[in-house]
Amino acid sequence: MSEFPDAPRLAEALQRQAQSIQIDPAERAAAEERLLGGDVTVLRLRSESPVGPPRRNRSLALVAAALAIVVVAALLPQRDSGTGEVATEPPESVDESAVVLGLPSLVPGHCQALDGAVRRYSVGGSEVLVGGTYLSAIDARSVVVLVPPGLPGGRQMVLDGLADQDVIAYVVDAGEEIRPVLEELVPIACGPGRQLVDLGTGRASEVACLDYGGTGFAGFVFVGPTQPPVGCITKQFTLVIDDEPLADEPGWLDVYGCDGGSVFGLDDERNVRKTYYDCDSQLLFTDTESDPLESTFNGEPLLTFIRRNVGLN
Amino acid sequence: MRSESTTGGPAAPRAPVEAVAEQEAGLRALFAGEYEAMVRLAFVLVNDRHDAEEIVQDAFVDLQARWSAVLNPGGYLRTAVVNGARRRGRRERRRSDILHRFERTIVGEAASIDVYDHTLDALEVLPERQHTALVLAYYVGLSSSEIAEVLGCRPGTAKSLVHRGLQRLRKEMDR
Repeated sequence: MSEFPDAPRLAEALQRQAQSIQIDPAERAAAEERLLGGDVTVLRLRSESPVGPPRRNRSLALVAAALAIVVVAALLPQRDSGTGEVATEPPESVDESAVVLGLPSLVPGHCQALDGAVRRYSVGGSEVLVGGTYLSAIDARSVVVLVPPGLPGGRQMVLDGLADQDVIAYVVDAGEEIRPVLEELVPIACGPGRQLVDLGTGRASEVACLDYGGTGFAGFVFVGPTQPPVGCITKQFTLVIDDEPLADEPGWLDVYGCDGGSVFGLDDERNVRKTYYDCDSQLLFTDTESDPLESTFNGEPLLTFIRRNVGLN
Repeated sequence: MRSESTTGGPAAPRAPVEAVAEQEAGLRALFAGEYEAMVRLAFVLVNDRHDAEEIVQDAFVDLQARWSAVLNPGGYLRTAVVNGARRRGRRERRRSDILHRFERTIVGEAASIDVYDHTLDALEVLPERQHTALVLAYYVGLSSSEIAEVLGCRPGTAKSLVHRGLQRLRKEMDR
């Protein structure tokens, strides 16, 4: 499968590792009996931890807790992800046309900081919700806009909103295959010799933020867990690269901003997390222990940025 | 594995007792043929024997529950084992597992063991998806298309995962 010179060694190492364990015939026979004898409950719980509750029970408890959270969340009104207040109007400090696009501003030559908040406002007499974390500058003149599901006339609205701005917009409807768009755009940002990272099965409905700005390297993609229901927008994200979820546990990461070299957000316990990506290896490194007091974002102390943009104390 | 009508017409509904007997026979044959191989596959993925056994047994339980709807029980079982290992691996990949492996090494093969353990240590550092892709490629011997099927991705993605996994492996081994 590969020219990799150490591949035979890898195959041999894996074979040795696999053969290093002995399959206990008695254990195997017991497992077979439990399975085929119909005592599935016993089989499922056979590997109980000697200390503490059974793993299966812990898993069930976690699932139950997660379901409870989902139910409660569904019953709550949409909240601004930063302030905790129900957002009914766009912030006064942000240009309204930019808010429509979830775009605070276009700064030539750099990817934008996106705040991720969900906002309500009126478009043509209809109230719509728009999240902020689905647009990223490719370069100074190109942007990709992901039109969220359930946004009436979203594509045209985005195009209209960008009409008076000196940018080239690539608008992608939720659910639409985004790879062709990226393949067209990436050479703009990456230049010769760079390749688009494999986006796997990422589709527009999952892609929340594309960051190719600033570094000139193929960047990373934020993928939401599922197709979001109407109005919810992809507010919560899993950081991935090469299809590899990097922050799916212990809690989802609310992404509040990204720049050419890092992204930060808050986990479900409101702890600041900052993730760096290595352009050479195209890997993300999540540093959950970083001290927010010492971290910077876009050259600004991270806490200052958060207080200013997110409302976190 | 499925019973078919010998008359060429639609298969007559089987009696429940017959269906249960057929399922048990099929499951028993699969268990006899695949249990050990699946435990070893899971062990390579999660580095813990007890976890590996539990993953495989869970996979069999899952398969048992869906037996009538599964067209390829062997393929389903392998995918269930890989998925179970990946779920477990994300939660519980621990550095201590690597240390455990040293305890399992075979005395008397120190020179080659160093090389292979070095390889396995490097493999352990890889992102879980790359790790899994390499195991499927170089332990199980699957093609890119087959890896893609197990991982639920496109063949191009599987190929890319293997390629990048090998690159990363080389980088780690050179450290």
